[in-house]
Amino acid sequence: MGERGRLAVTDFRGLRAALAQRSAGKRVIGFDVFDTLLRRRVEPETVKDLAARWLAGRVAPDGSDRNWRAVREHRRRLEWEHYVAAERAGDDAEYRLRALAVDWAAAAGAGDPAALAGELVAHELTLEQCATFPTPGIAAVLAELRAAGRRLVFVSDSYLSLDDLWALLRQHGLAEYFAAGFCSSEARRTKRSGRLFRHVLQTEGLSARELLFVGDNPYSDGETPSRLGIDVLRIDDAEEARRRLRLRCLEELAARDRFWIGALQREIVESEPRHLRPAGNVEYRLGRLLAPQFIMFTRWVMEQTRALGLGRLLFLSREGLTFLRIYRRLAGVLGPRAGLPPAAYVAVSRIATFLPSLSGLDIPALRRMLRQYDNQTLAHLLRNLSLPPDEFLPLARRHGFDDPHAPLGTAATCAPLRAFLADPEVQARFTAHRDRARALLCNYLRAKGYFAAPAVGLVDIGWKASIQDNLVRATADVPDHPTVHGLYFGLWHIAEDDVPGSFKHGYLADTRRGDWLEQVVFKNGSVFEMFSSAGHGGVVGYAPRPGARVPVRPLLQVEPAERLTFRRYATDVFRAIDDYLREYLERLPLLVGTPAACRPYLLDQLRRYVLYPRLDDARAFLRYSHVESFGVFHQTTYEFKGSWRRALLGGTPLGAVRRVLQMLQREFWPEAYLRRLRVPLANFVYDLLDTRYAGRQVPAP
Amino acid sequence: MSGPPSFPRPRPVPPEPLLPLLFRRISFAYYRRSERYRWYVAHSPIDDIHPVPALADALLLELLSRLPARAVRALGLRSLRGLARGLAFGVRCLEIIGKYLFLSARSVYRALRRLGRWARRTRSGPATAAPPFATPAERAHG
Repeated sequence: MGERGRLAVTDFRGLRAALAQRSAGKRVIGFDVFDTLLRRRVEPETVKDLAARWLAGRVAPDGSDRNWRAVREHRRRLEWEHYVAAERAGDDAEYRLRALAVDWAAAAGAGDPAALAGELVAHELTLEQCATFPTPGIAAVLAELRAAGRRLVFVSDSYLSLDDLWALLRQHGLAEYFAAGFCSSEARRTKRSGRLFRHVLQTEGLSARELLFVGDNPYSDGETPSRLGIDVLRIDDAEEARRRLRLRCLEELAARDRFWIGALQREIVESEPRHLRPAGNVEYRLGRLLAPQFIMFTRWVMEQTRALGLGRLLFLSREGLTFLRIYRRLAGVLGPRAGLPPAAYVAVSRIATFLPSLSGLDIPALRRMLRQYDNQTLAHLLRNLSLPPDEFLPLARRHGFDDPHAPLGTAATCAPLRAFLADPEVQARFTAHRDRARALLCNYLRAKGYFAAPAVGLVDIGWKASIQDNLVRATADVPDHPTVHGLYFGLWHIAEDDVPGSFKHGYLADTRRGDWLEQVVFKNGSVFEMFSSAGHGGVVGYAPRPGARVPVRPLLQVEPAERLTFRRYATDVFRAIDDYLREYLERLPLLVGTPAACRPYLLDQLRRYVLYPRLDDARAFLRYSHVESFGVFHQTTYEFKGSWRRALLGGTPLGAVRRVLQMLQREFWPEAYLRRLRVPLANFVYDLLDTRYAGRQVPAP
Repeated sequence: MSGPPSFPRPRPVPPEPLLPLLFRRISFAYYRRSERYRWYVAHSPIDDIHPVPALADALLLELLSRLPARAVRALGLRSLRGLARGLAFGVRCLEIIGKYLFLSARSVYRALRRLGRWARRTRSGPATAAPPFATPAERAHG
């Protein structure tokens, strides 16, 4: 054996300088591919697991990948058989993906193994492409070496063919730097045994001293070539080692505890991002928090759509526009095999659908609104009912309403209101307005495909599903009205509002489940509403549009305060959501966590944001505002509205704690207020007290 | 090969602040002892029930994210896992000690309160009440 090659160790940051120093006098520089030129987003064995899932799904009659572990076990056994066969033939232990794929497809029970093997290989290569990314900064180093006239080759122990490796490097923009490539599956020799390095030296016509090899594996890329007299630059990067350890750890944890599935997905999407910015303002950070929640909600909508056999999806304005955009982009990547129905955006609102939904103008019919917004004025009531005041106020005056802005008190016991509602002329005019509004709404819904399927899905952020209740009531008399399934980000279920043929489902929160933990969504529902809402303004009604494809057009009204919040702050939130979605779609084949499996981790992240906000998040909340366009008509701002004086001194000293808690619970997002107070442990104490209180509230059977 | 370093810093997933993580775990543990949680577990399908991540697992991930990269590489996953288990065991011991201290303090407080009540009763009326810490038979006979 000749003289050993020199072995130097560097990290990625020192690679450039080390190459400049060690490459002098070398004719060729060889690079390892995986973990040197390309980094991994998932462990190599995970790629095989994902391929096994795909294969199991393809051969199963119902398309389910339930048996993927058995299919994966087939591959493990076949790999050994191929290794043994290669060694018997005098080659090094290595297999070729294409040869193995044929045996694997046959072992999995495919009808035509050869045809399926082709698809399987193509899928695994797609997975490999998603699972790898060029080492940040490596392209610049390769370009400099090429510019300095060095001949670069890559050498890899891999079951992928040489063409596959070239394609992989080409997809990552690195192929152009290399003059030649060698891989164990083609040469039937491996780096581990050292025979592949001898093959490289022979093919390139080099002596060992004329080659410098760069790689990460201490044995295959370090010890073995060094023993052959090749100088070696071994990469040992602590940061990268830490990233890989974290990834491996998360993969192990996710395999045995579903809480970590969401964390693993986050690691795959967010680690070494291409589109996500490393740091951003408060809103960008908020967008990064909301994006996985919205994306998984949309994936859940897709799952539910298939499970419930929905023929049409309608995304309700205004939050639905964000979900529709995510849906369309996801559907575009998933392709027609995902079996998703057509989807449309429907401009609706509570105020635009309440009048058409009313069976009559009386207290029982109005109770759905009054339960939530009691103590109305007559002017507000008419506005909520979309009834013109110039027509109805003169009628009201006949029943003693001198001031339309005076509070009615409890509507059910308000004598002038009861007399007003009992007035036949009021009833006649109401019926005319209601029927006109109902006809317009039904025509609009028909044009949007509401009546085009026996079962349709309505997608919205939540919370009480009142638009769904309105739509179902408004269309109940139409002969071909569909069964309606409402799919909500968070559902605050009100049993009294349910009607036959209308079903509601909540993803992240559903009060029917009775879990207090998930109700964290409702503690700051405003943030979800504000930053998923489209900027086109609220729908206040409909007007005919003769001759158009959609014969009815929605009438929109934009509030200046909302426009300001949208323009100033929502832009960054939407940008972050978009950046996150791009990362997500690029890694989609690697992400197998179901929406249900990811829910615990997503909720945990929400709890972090809502219960223990950062100071800048809590302060930023004060800048936002939200305009209420139904029930009450005012601009909601989020500053503190309570009174410490009243809470502390407004009763017995022993009741002060209770009064303070009650005062805080009346606030929008009290945790943010406590965080702004900067009292140490205030949020923790409030969380414990709130938990204690909620823990005693057992839902009624 | 001169010029600025060409390898940008890695961009891992940023770890979240430690205290909120700890507080969330505590309040979740508190919630799990509540009557409502028991109702929820009894009435929910198994897939809806929140999994409870083991403390050692959470600590392992925190160690992986927070220790210096060189320390992580030097220790390796196996040692870090051992360290996380050790820490989790320590936390569990503290929890048990804390619980017993709390329970002892509570029983002392209750005993004192009972003694105070008995003292008040005997001062204000005939000494017919059973003394505190009386056996049920003594209490029955007054």
